Amino acid sequence: MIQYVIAGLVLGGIYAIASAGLVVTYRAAGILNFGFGAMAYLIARFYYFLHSQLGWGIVPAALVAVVLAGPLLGTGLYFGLFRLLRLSSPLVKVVVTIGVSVCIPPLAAVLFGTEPILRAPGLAPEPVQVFLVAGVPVTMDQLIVYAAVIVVLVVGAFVLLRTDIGLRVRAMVDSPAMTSLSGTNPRWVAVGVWATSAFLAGLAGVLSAPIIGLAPTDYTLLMAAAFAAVIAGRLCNLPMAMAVGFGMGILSSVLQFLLPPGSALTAAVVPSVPFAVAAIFLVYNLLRWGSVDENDGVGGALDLAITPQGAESLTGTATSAPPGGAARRRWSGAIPSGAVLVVVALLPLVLPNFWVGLLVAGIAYAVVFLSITLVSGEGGMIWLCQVTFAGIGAITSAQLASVYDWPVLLAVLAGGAIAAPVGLLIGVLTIRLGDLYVALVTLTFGLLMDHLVFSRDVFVNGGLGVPVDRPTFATDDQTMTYVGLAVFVVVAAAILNLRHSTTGLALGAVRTSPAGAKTVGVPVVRMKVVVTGLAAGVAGIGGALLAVVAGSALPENFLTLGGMVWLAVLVTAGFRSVAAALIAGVAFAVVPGLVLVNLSASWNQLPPILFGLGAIALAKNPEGFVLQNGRALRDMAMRSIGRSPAGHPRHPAMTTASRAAPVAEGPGPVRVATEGRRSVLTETGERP
Amino acid sequence: MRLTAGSHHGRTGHRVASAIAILGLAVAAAACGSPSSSTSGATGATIKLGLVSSITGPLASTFGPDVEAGFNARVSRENDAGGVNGRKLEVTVADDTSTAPGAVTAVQNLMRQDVFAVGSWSALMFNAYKPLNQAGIPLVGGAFGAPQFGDPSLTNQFSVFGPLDPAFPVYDSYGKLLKSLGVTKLASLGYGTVPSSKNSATAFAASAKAAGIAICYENYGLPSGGVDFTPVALAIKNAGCDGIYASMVSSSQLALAQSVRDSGVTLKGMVSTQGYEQRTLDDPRVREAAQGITFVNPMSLVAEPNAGMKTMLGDLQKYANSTGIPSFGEFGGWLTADALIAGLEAAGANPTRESFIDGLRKVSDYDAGGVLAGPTDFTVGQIGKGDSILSGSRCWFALTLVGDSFTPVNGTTPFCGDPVAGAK
Amino acid sequence: MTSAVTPADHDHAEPDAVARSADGGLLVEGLGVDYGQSRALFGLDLAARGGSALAVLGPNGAGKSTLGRAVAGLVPVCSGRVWFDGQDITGWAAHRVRRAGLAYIPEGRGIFPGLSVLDNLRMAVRQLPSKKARETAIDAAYGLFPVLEQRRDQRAGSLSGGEQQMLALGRVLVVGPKLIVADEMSLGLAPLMVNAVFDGLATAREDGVTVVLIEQFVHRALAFADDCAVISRGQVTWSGPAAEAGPQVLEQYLGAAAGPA
Repeated sequence: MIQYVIAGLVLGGIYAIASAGLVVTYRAAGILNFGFGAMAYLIARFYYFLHSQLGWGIVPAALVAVVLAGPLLGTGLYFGLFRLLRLSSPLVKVVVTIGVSVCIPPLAAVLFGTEPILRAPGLAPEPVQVFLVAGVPVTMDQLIVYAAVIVVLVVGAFVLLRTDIGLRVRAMVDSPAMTSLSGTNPRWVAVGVWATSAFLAGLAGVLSAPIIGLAPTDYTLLMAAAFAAVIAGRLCNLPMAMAVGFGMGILSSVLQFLLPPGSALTAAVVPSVPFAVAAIFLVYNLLRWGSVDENDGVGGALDLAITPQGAESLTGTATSAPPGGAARRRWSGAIPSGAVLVVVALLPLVLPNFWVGLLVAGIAYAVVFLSITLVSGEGGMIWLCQVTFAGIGAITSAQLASVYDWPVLLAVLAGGAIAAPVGLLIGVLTIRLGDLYVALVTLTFGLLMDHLVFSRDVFVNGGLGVPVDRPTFATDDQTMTYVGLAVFVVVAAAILNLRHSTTGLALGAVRTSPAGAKTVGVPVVRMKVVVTGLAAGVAGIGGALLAVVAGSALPENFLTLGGMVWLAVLVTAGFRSVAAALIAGVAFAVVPGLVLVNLSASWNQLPPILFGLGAIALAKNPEGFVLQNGRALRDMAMRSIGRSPAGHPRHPAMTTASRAAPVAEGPGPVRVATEGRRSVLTETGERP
Repeated sequence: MRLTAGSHHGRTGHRVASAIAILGLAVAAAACGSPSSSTSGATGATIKLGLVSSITGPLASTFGPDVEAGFNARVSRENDAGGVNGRKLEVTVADDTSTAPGAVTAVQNLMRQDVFAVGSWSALMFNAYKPLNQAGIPLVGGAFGAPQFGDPSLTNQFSVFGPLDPAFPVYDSYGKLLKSLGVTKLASLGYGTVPSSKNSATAFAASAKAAGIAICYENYGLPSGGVDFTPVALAIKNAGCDGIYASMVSSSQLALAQSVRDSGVTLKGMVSTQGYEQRTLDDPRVREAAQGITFVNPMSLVAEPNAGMKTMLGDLQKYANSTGIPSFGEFGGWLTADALIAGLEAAGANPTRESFIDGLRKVSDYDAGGVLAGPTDFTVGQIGKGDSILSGSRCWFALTLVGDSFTPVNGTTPFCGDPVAGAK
Repeated sequence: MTSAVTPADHDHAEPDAVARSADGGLLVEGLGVDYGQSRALFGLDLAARGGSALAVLGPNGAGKSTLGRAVAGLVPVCSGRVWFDGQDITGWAAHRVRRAGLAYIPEGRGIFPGLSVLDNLRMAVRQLPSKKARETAIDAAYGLFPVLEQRRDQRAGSLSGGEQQMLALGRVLVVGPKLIVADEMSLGLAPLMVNAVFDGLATAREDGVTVVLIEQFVHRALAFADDCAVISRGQVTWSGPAAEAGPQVLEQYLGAAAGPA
């Protein structure tokens, strides 16, 4: 068994390095970098390019790729992107980093080509020597991993604890505001932190390439394990995260020794180790502290106080409220949505069949996207597993329709009905977790479902998926489009109704300030859980529709990582507008078709890059493309008929509904929900 | 970088205008597709052929642009010789981007462009075949895991490897191969999350058992993607295995082979269904990891080529600038084109889709001039009978990588199999 | 934000503002600051002459802390100007303001709770030019408040309230500031500690440092300060010499809650 422990130390070491890179930027910059794995992949791919494709020696290639390019990438991303996120809401931070992770693999394909890589070299000279340690064969690559971990630990600890640079980083981690007040420019510390994190990512990538391979998909498990380690460290505790990273590597290896290799149990257990570890630590922390919130320990009271939105709200609240009361508000929101709907409804009549086929899929996507509008836009929660609920709806409806001969549309509804309670359950389980933890837990849940449920042969059906026929009256694409639109309209109307109802206003209050809402008597827990259940149900219906459109329910189409792209697309358009959901869905289906028809195959990388960039653009434009332009359009329209555009009301009283209000200031009146905007804290001498 | 929380009307107006422009362009581009017509595609001097494959995406490492190159190589030779019955061939390639919906879009794109027949070398056609069937458009190609190629009612579909039975029936040919390699104890591995992987591995193991070979280690729960095989190699060593069959992607198989070698185990044989291509010889890292692996392949020998192989190799060299052992993609693309051309020739002087289908259905011994290790029977009575590409009833060659070349097992005789009674 | 703030243009600076803020003085003109969606400060004017002490009084929520943060550069300024030591520092980033000599001690203790006392001092003296100067400064802090030396390796967050305030003050004093803005320094402290804090501030004032004292508790602040400004609901409602801030003024603007002496 000692052999398995030694074997497990290799992957464990890589997990430890990766988790260190994640914790460092979380603590110093407040951003949990979902794009970390993609960055690791890019640097590893670059190293392969220099060493294997161009023939550079190991040392120069490693120096340029890991020591130079990695930190440059981190610095570039900081200046171009992460710097803008300093005061953003958790949702924006999550989505932007997801955008990075969506963009980078196709970019790598564009930069370095798509030649398949069957064997990737590491840092060991070839042919790779093999040593025997306690009877276990250990390759030079693996020894280098051990050495790298030790060096990172020793040098890292030394720098952090003994040098001036380390002092500045520790100060910045403790309180960025106090760091500024001490006369140290936090910008350069931040640059250093991001450069270091990128260096660690590149190191982890290059070290793991010879061991786990060099394909973007190979980094999923690495990321899941790194996130689990980070969760175990409550996002902030570096030594704990690294220790848990090691532990997971060893555990995975030892489990393969202890459990019988042929059994289905082993097949399920081994890839589930990261998720189990994350779940255990979360449950432990929940039981011990009652709630788990990422704000614990990041920055101090002062930092929270100078962030105007306080502790927990997401970007923006209601769409801009024109004067004239509730009825006027409702209609002004409905008009742009109605216009988009009419346009989409007319399209099947004018477009050729090929495009109608794409359009009908787009409308099914739009229904799934509405579930994101519901859970994130209205409910203010970051859920990364809506695609999983869509998958549950799809496989359920396929089983019912094919195996049990239910009528198709009923099966679609049943798909939603099965997905909803799962959403409710997850909602209840995560109710005491902070925003970022919710994102991590839902991501983990999605990945777990991918492994345990979506891989079952009864659903995969030999790779074909369980077939679903269209309803007999809607076998052609045109009619199916209208069926889909009907479903979309019903759901959208329900969402709009919810938004303007008392429940919707209560949700808005919860979004802006959960603590404030509690003091007013809004039942926070109940609200949120109901919304999550509804959203899961909507996603299930959308997923079932997708299966009907495609002709079969293929679990592969509902994998969690694919769902990240869906999230990126929707958020680009705007996650608080039903019109945006429709536009996003149609765009998602149609844009690849446009590329396919009009551009050669080498442009196929373009759509994911575009979608990723769209998510990244959220950093500058948190409301999304549609809302911002919709408002501009409406302002233009109103100006043209002589009315003044919606004003941005100011309230003279200061409001301090945030949880961590400074001691001296007492509670003021609760802030009224208005149009969302951000103030910006400049880090240079320039004014905003 | 200046960011203001205030309104910026000038920039907003500009942004709205550009949004409208983009939207308008998109709709215009969409609407300007060619109108669908009901002609059967063989008009006048040219015949339009379509090709669906995974040119990009994760599966491009198995398929990729090579498919297009191989297809075009065969077509170019035909065109240079004057075409089929005087008609030149025009090729449209549609990329399925390694996704099932992508395959559907690809097929619809080809139909939009009114192709006469579609060739496919793609594992993702299982949802995409329906419109072709409904329109009576012939579909010719590799039937990877697609049961509709074995559906007798779908007479417009032709699998170049013969008809298909996705139940992975057990044949004795793999057992014979293992015996001739000297394997006595076999380790059988597959992915936990890919059912076809497990199925193919268990079928292989069953064939081995029928030949009297013991199964020393079975693991069908490996995670796909990103695995360190050291613990697995340790387990294989501890179980005393001297043979391995891993139903996994090439990169995983190579990693496993290396791990096993590193742990000091000398195998009598490791069998792989992927990797008999030039890349294995040219990439030193791959070559080193693949030493001693025996590759099975439906293609005839390259080192001692028969007439058909010489022709194919010549086409690839002349038109695709490719020498050495053809890759799986090049082979498949060339083969698909060759089968389509065979169908066109069988369709007669004035080909229609119906005459194509009728004509090709009469061919019972298609082997691409000797390129295939064993003949394919396209007749209607054979649809639904038979097995997948390499399971056993077909014939295939086995070659072991020794040093920097492939050595055939069994000389120039392919392995051919009979069903194993009562197995599985 | 309504009106745009024009960039600082020192060549055409108001000579009056320069003069009035000279020698480490502070001049705030028409300051408007947003807090999220609401306006916290409206056209606030106040002045502290170089070397003098100004008490800024007001009830809860009046905007005193926002004023401190805006002057220090922690929150953005929407309108108006801030002049310090003859320069227009409106919109300057906080670290730049600090390096110019304006030290802001935030309420809730201006320390790094997660770092040791020694590390806190090290962060404070970083801007001094030489290693010798930094060591001297740290020794000076120990001299001012010997308890800091006793607890040099202790985590600052675990010190008592008074000790934390001494650390906060010590960090600022030993680097030679020109102006100190002390936000609610006596909050939550025992009377002995309050004395120690005011003694420290008095030492600073003797050295010519301008002191702006933001306080809720009135009498002590008035006893210390030369001038007084009363803020209510984001605006200055009364300002003048501290001696003139008689009981009526206080009652009128602050109500009966004047706090312990």
